[in-house]
Amino acid sequence: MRDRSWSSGVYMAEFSSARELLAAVHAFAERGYTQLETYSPVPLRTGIARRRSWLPMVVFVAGEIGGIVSYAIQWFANVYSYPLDIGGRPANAIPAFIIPTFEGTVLAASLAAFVGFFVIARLPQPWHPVFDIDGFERATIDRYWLAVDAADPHSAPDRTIRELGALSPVRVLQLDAER
Amino acid sequence: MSAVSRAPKLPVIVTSVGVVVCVIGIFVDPARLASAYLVAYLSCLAVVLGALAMIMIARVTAATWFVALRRQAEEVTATLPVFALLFVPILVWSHVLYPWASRIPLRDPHVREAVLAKAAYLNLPFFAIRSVVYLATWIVLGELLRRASLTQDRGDTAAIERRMRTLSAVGLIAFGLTVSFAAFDWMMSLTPAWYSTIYGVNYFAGAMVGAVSLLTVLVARARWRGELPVSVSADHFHALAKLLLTFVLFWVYIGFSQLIVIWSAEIPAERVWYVVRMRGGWNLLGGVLVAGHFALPFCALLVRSIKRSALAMSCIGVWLLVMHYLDIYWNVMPAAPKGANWAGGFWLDAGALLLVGGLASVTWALRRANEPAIPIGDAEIAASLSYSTN
Repeated sequence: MRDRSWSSGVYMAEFSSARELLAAVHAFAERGYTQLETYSPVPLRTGIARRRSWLPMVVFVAGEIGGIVSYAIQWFANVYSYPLDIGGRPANAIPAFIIPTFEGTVLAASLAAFVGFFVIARLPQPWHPVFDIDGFERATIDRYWLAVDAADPHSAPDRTIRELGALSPVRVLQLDAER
Repeated sequence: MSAVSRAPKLPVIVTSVGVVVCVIGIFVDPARLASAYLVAYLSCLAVVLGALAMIMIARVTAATWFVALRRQAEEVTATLPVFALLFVPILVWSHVLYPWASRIPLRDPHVREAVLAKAAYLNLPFFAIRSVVYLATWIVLGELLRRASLTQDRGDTAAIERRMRTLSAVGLIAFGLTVSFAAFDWMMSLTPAWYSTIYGVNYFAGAMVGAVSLLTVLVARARWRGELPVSVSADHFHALAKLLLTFVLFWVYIGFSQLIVIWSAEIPAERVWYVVRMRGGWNLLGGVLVAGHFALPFCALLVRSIKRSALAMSCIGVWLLVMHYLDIYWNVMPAAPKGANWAGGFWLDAGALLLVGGLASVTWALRRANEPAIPIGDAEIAASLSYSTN
């Protein structure tokens, strides 16, 4: 759900159960917040529609380009640059060209999927602002965190902290803008 | 009350029209009618065989999502016995259809030589015995699976489930061999001097495209008529669509594999089949198949919203069924007996398709009456109905 990298800071609340975290997510989504991020030791279904990833589109376009380029290379070599008569077959030997075209499509598409995933997921990321929070590692054991981007149009310093506090979290804290 | 009076009107009318056209055809152009009939028979049979394979694959893999749709497939395979009856004309006409069975001496010396060399396999008695074995295998498998499913409706499923899984595992092996050899015998031997070892797989690939297409249409139909629970929903169509996309790719992959091997080697004995089909109108039909049986459905089935729409999926299903018929047409018709008036026989194509498809529909309608539309006794039915692709 996070679009920006918390350039204006972030408000965070720690909960001791998945139920409380889900209730908090729903409460904030109802108020119109969109820049929410959750941290949980187990997969959760928030039931809130997520924006679909644009990775499939990237893969599709990359595959198309890979296919066209692969065919073009073969066409250039065998039809334009150095035509060879191979057993009387046409220079533009479509059946023979299809296999490298297919391979080129798959290669470009899979590379785009691999690289695209890392770009979209912002990986690798050796440091993240949440690592500065003492005890945040319990998000991988038994604690549930909600992060609200301060840049969210609905965020307001005092009000957001008050709203988080009203959900009876273990603690609420604020991380300032990245240095 | 007789069976015919209980049958729904439309399929009976369709069958009657088909019978009338075919009877006229016997007197006008029997050779052309024989080819038209073979195309209609092989294309309809393929769809039914594909449904049989779907049931067995789902049983072996214990596919939960398919349980809610299984009855629709079982009702399709209930038409198999009628295909045994419909095979009789092909047997009667085999000397017209198949050059190796021809009563007139073959003119081409290469073909004559090849037919002579293959006489131990390609002769009428053995051909008839093999055909009976194929049809018997499919009918037995179809009926056993269907009856077990209907028994499961009344409970006691664990033991039946196990037995059906074993039967399906063995059945799939028998199915693979019989379908492959049926394609060799009934379709490939139309050009007796030619062979392609992948030809059976080719027929199977088209059969699966046809079967998943028909299943999609039948599921959508049953849902619109309120026969299926509302929980058979977008997720089930999504699953069918993904399977359909797979088989569309499989079909083009196998077809291309056959082409590239023969095209690269260009051995005269192997290329004859393509030489005929890459000329004039047949080449055009081949292009239509590449576009309509592969490119268009491939692109459409990439789109998530199409895959989840019952309406869009039934349109694609009907479209691919038409393409499947044209695929068999492209395989069979260029090898039609010489002398038959091909261009003047489209009405016979239509008549034969109405006869075969109509009779299968009548059987389907009669045998599915009074059956629950889903396997209500299956242990997995609840899980299947709440199946979600996400």
